[in-house]
Amino acid sequence: MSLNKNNIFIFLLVILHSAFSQKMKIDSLETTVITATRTKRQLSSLPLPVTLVSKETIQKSGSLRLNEILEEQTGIVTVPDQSGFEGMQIQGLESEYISILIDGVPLLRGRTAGNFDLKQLAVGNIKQIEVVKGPSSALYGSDALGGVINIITDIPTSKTPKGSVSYRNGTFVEQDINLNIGQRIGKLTYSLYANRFSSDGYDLNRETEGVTVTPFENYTFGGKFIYKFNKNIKNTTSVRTYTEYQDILSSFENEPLTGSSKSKDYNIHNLTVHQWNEKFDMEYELYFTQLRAKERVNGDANARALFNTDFDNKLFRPEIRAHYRYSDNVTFTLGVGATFDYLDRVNFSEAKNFNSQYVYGQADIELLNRINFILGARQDWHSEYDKRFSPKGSIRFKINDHWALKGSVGSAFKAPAFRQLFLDFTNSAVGYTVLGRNIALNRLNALDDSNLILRRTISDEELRTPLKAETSVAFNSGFTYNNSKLKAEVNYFRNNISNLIDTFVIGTRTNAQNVFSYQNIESIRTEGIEINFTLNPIENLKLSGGYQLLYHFDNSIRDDFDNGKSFFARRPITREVFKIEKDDYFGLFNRSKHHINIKLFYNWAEKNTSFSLRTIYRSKYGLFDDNGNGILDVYDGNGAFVKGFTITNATVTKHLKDFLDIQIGSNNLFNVKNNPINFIIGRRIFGKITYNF
Amino acid sequence: MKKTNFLIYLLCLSTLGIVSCSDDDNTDISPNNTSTDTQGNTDREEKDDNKEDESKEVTLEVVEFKNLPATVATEAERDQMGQITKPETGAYTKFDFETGKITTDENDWDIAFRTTAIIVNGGENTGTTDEPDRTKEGAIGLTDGLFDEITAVKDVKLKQDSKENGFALTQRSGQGWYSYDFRTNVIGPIPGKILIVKTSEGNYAKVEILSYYKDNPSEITDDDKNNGVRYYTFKYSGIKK
Repeated sequence: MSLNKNNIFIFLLVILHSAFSQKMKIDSLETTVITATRTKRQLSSLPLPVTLVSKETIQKSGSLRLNEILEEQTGIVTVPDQSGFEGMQIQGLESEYISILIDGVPLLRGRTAGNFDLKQLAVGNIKQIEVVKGPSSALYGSDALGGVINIITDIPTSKTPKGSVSYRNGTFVEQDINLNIGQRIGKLTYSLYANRFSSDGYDLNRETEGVTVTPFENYTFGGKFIYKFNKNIKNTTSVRTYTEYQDILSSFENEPLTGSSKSKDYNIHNLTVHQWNEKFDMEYELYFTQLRAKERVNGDANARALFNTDFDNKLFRPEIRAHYRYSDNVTFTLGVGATFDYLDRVNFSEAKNFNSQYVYGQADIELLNRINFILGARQDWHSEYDKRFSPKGSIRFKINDHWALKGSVGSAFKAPAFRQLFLDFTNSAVGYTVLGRNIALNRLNALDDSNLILRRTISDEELRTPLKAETSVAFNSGFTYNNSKLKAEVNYFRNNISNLIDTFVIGTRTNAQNVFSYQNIESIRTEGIEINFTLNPIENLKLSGGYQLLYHFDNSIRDDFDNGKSFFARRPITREVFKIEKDDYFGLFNRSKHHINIKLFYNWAEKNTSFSLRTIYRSKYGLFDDNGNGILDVYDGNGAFVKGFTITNATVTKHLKDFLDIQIGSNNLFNVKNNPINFIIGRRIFGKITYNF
Repeated sequence: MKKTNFLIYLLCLSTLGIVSCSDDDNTDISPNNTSTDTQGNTDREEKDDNKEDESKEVTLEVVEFKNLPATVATEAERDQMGQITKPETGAYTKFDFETGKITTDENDWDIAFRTTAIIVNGGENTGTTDEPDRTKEGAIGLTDGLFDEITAVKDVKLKQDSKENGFALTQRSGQGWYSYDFRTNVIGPIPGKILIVKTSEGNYAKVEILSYYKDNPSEITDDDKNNGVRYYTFKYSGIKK
């Protein structure tokens, strides 16, 4: 993509802003974000840590799916967890604690124990990705404990139909077909989007049975329709569907297993913005989404269904927001809404409903053109657990044109998930049982009445206590520096999560297997420093980079050390047993201490060619408690840790004619692999052709 | 796909003995079969020479006992779903701390081994196949610590086997003396886990399991997993009450 096009893009962006955004001052050409305050705000003026990824960066990087572009950002780590579920972390907190939104409304998570698979989100039609790090429950409620990722879709600006068609093919026959078209006709603006993505899959470890990723294909369709009734009233309707088909190929006791899974996700989002007058506007929002998944696995011999999984989750959420601009320096936001959440799935005795109502408010105050306060709070009432109050305050102090200080402190929460309250699952192969907390006592009694319980390990009284929401108190503070060539930011963060929900044994079955339920147990802490910079030393060259230092641990294990509890390990060769020190405790699973990225974007204007080279480093992290002492420690064997590694991605884009772009690129250019546990996909090469009209 | 893997992993967790030792050769566990018996250290052999006099005490020396077989006669059978249709069979290998030897005596034994299960001569049969009858008032407990630093039973809770509560020393991975690594199929003693045994004669011993594989190899090879599994190496010593 050429610089020319960029300039046009930015220019159009500005036009767009002046057209309907009068809420906050937009002083310059600078990018704005909406996620941090629910009002348009200049990125650089915000008192919170926010990462913004532009369309240009996505295109020049050749990213197709959300995980690819996010993992190149500082402090965002995407990697499978111990069970192999796709995961992600922000400030060391997993995707369970991060709310993923499209245009401000939440996506459903599916079946993978709270994880969100970022690969299911195509990035071909988006304007920008906004990542707010740190507690965001004050605006977004449950699940936004660690942060919010908001995908902002593109809005067409051309009076004639404009768009692009692209085709990409690469290693593993990974194919991507993408179609975009949009136009503004008088009062109506529309954009249509279609994407097909498929792969023949791959295998990371040939020694084990089965393959890592089996062949799949998925389809995304999107449509957005904006209608301006008059100068003051505008309605936006967005529809999106995502359908995925994947083969299942595995084995069980040397019997091959085959099957297939299908999942379908769709959402409908309707938003009406009513500008009452210069000072006051309201937004009326209706949102509905549904996720359905089916999985069928047959043993080959007799085609008997071994594992069948049905999953049906629906969510409906009406919300009304109001913005009142009291003066140039003071803006109030008020929101009120309700969520109706429905889940029916295998291993639930009946379909379950969650209902919640909420109200939130925020004051955004600027004093003396130097100090910006944002004070916000939200109250959630829920049908199944205690009400939650989530306050947050942030402040930015502008020292001069170059330097500013920032700080924020907030409380956030994550409500217990459906499965943690209502799951009723007995593994037919092994015979253990997992019961959601709300049904645990009744089901345990029923099992007992059928003489299936050998003994109970918890009192009825204790089991009757309801599960509490996981809560956090988090703190961010730092400073920013910017001049015409350099932008830099340093942020210290600390998240303390209490009432973490985990499984525990509530009894033993007569088959000697355990019955599990969920309880609030430990508290964890993640703490660290994030540094980011962007340097434009010469025209057409952009160098950016980032570093995250992360400390992470289970508070109760540190307390155990302090209280004199001993943990033991074995020396590598002599296998002598000894007491380990507090410093030998490695912390939480699947977290690296260091995370670095360096990105170089260069535009060779004469040749209409742009280059990008991105490198990500992740230091050693632990996956297993190898020596069985109950904690991850430095004496866990080599097999317990994944060694640090560096991955380099490169892309070259040639703008051939006005209408044609050709791109070649490689992910993991140097074919880095990791031993003994390899989670890294080897070198992949792709070519892409884009026709713009 | 992922989910399936996870379920298989959970299955592995619960079927440890089987997963890791499919090629077992059902070794004869007669104590007279000297090839499987111990080559204890010299200290111990000296003691053995006049053990007749001291057989009522557990030696205060630290004794390492090698290659106690804990094999089965027939493996458990499972259906396609992995559920046990026929349990494993085979005699438990009984051990007597006062003599420091494997024994077949029906009364004078303290603990007995079969696969990862360790039973004690106290309480009642738990209901597994081929269990020896409990004829004495022995008991067993588990504590955390360094072997050398434990000199007395103190407040370690000792329990007896029972029909209702099963083994006094749990056979579960990660909760008793060992942990099972589902990636490598290796059963390893958990560091810092010390068994405290009240013997059938009323003495007390501390026991640390060192290995579950023949000749206590430092790296467990595929050959160890296939041919050398279910051989305990442990050290023990008498302690005060």
